[in-house]
Amino acid sequence: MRKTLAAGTTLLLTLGFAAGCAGTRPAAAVATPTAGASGSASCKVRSIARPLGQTRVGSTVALAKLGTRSVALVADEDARAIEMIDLETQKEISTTPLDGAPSQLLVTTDGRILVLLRDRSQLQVLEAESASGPLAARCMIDTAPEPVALAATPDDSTVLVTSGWGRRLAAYESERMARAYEVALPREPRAVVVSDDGATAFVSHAMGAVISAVDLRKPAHPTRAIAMMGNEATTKAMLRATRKRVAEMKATGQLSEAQVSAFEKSLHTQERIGCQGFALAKSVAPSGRVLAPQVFVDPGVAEQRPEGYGSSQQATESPSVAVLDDTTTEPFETSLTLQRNLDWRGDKSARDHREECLLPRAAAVDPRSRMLLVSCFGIDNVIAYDAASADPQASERRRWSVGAGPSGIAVDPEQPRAFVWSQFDRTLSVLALGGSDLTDEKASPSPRPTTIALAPLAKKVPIDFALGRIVFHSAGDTRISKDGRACASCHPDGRDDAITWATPEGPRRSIMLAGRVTTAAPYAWNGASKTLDEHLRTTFDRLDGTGLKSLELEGLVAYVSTMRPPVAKQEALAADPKVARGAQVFASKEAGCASCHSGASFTDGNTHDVKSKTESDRGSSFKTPSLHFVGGTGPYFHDGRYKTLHDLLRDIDGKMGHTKQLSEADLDSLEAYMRTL
Amino acid sequence: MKSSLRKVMAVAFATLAALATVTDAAAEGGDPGVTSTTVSKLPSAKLLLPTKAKVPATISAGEKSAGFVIAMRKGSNGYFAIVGSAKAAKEENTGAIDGAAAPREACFAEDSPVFRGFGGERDESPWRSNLQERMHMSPSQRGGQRAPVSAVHSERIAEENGRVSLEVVDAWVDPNTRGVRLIGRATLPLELVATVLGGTKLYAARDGQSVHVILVRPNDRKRGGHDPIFATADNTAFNSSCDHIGVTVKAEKGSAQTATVISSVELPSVATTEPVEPKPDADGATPSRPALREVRVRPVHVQASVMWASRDKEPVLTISAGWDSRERTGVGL
Repeated sequence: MRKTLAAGTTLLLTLGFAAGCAGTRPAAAVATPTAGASGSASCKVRSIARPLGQTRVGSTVALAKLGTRSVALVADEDARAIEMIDLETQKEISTTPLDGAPSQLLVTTDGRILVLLRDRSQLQVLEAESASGPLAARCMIDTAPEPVALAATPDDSTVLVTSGWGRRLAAYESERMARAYEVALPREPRAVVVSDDGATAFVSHAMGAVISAVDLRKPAHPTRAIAMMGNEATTKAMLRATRKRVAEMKATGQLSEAQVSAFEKSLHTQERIGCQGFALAKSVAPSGRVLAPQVFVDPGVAEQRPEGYGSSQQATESPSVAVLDDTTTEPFETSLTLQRNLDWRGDKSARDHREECLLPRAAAVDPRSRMLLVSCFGIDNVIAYDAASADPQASERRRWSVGAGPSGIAVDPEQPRAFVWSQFDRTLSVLALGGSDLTDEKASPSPRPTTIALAPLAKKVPIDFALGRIVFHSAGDTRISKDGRACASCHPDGRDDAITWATPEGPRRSIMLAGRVTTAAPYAWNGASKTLDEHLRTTFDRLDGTGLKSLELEGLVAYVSTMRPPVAKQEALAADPKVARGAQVFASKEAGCASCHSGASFTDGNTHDVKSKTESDRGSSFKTPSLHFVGGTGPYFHDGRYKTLHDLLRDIDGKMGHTKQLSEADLDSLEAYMRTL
Repeated sequence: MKSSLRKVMAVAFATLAALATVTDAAAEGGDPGVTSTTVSKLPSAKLLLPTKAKVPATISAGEKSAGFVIAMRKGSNGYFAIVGSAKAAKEENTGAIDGAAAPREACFAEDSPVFRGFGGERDESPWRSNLQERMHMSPSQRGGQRAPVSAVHSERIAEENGRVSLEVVDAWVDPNTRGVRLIGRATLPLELVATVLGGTKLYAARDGQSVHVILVRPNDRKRGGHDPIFATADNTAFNSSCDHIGVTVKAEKGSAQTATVISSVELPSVATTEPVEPKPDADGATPSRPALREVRVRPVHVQASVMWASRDKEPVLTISAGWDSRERTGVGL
């Protein structure tokens, strides 16, 4: 409570809610890039900027030299601008307004400043003409929907862009920023880093228990999905031994293929599922490792119908830092093994409790101190792990408190310090990285991070949205959940975690929130909650949280009701004849889709029995879910039984609409249409 | 009073001096608590593994082995202790512990069935039993299902001419006869790889594809308030009530292994009050016990890992240390 109020107060001050706040800067005109400059010579610039350090990885904060001046460039999502701050005077120098919300920026070795405009699905190239003025826009390149992260190859020949909603990794020839190729990826890609030899791009995913490894050298750019499943050491050993025994029994004919398959399915439910893959970093000395902060989720056993979401007997969320070999692309098993069994000492008091990083959002390596720095939403900490360890999560070295919503980290190669951009309260924290990790704070207190607060915005973020955003990401908050889960744990970036949870009613898939909450009433799979407020109270109760005060609850409702949808519109696809045909099929009485998925939000708001009840379900009727953004939210059904829309449409005949009579072409068209909703 | 103050100041300055050394080392290019080194740079040694030899039926009372000293109090009904020296045996027999700093004593562990993971295979794992300064045994507990003779492992940190090694002796002990028969001896030369605030040192040696990492706390038996040292390695948990503990990690190409040790370090006193002088006894005599002082102890979490990634020419040992939890303050000598 105190934490939220304090953060809220900071917000009020920083975002300039006090009328007539001194220092409020009027919004400057939006820089206009060269028209039609995509992939053209106008993307080549003569910027005076040079990157500080050679990370070649995008972030919300990047360090650069402008002549002799060292600056931090910040992608300020709320201001829709790039802020420039002098590193030595720690004062703002300039603001470069953008015509979209920036997700990441990167200073290339030739001095260009690349910025991704998430809501515009564009990459903008800017140039620093002076060490004090705003940046000059040069060209704009279209990207797949919702560009979220950037990286450059070690030879600087290629710039890579991941697109969250677009599920793409796009490669641009660096000099002219001409698109070279695109690679399809699983759901919600986020961070991207390139191996030291330039052969492989590693892409994290916000959900789906996977890291993608894209071969950048082979012409077809094959992609490998690296499974991010983890467990306790003892459970792993048990699973390994059981699998070995099952294989032996299969070899001697004691078990059939079907029995082996059933065993494997059963064992698979005991694996913890990787989630919250928002950040990646590369190790330096020793090199050759990709470090991936994430969280392992235990959604519980559906048959047990626990009182809440997942088991109440053990932690549902466990932070982890996966270590991958950048050559073989294999993860080191030690880094996927949880070390909670050290708690057997049983002598830890509540005072010893350290808040866990359940929402990792950015990562960077400081080669000098060999630290992997990970910023954590919710607890608003930066945690330093040993970047050389085979299990960084078990090698925590120190941590710092920073501003709310730390979304980016940049390490200064010239001085032992790092800069952390905190979006929610628009501050830049300066962390001192030198000295020992094991200092005696009472005898010789180390300096606290310095905080640089940016000038309040001219166009203020609504207070309830700002407060709700903090509450939504608040981890370790016992008002929301007993075990520390945040709203954003199951709804990363307002999406869904693609996980089917064990609940009192049976198995339940998390639901995507962004862009479709206001039209989704009634709430819950059984439609039991008429209002969002009521549904939130039920959710906190199930999470064993003590509940929120009305002010924060109102803020949370405001935030989830207005959070940014993945894309504003998908109208470009409507002209596609295949989509048009799919729309006809959808609306046809024969198919019967629109009889329940009706209206502007594609739901009649009623519950129906579509013969989907499992043995673990209490009831048999389920609310018609909205089909907004259905193309990007699999797996499908209340228990996640269908991995893809393709599978769903071919199996639901007679239970939910009629698809048996449709040709393969019409089924494909129907799917194409549904992906535009 | 002045004398006590001087003592406190001396302790504080000594510890601050140690702190200053640590800080200077850190400023020169890195934290002394974290390190990475290629395994080939470590001294090579061979550790004794738990014996697989057939257990002797009995050992005659006359058989002895250096480093295994039997201590037995009068009227102990056959209970006895194995200790590492005659001095320790005298302490055990009289119950009077000499708190003065002394050469490090040997520590003992009995071979016991250790859970080594599902599947039940007993691999070539090093000793993972709990280490203790005095191993108590009794003939009465040795009946029934178990063989009366058991293997006992002892190890000691030895320092000579600035070189540090781990001396290991394994022996059969017959609790009925109190006879001891040597199984084997080994000496592991150790390399200092990290120093943690408070004087805790981490040493390492290589042993084939394995790396033995030994955490050694400062040799100060006056110190109070220390917890046992805990460790987990290869899915096995064990502890030590001595001033050291060892863990073993190994890596083949493309793999990694980690071990965790949780020890504690003593921090300098920040008390603003004087140490508590001992109260006179009932007869008015001042006890010889020194004044009690504030003792600040904080658990430290040490992670040892060996990793052999594709780009590494050989395995890399990494040691990292961080605070495990918050400090606890008490009183001690």
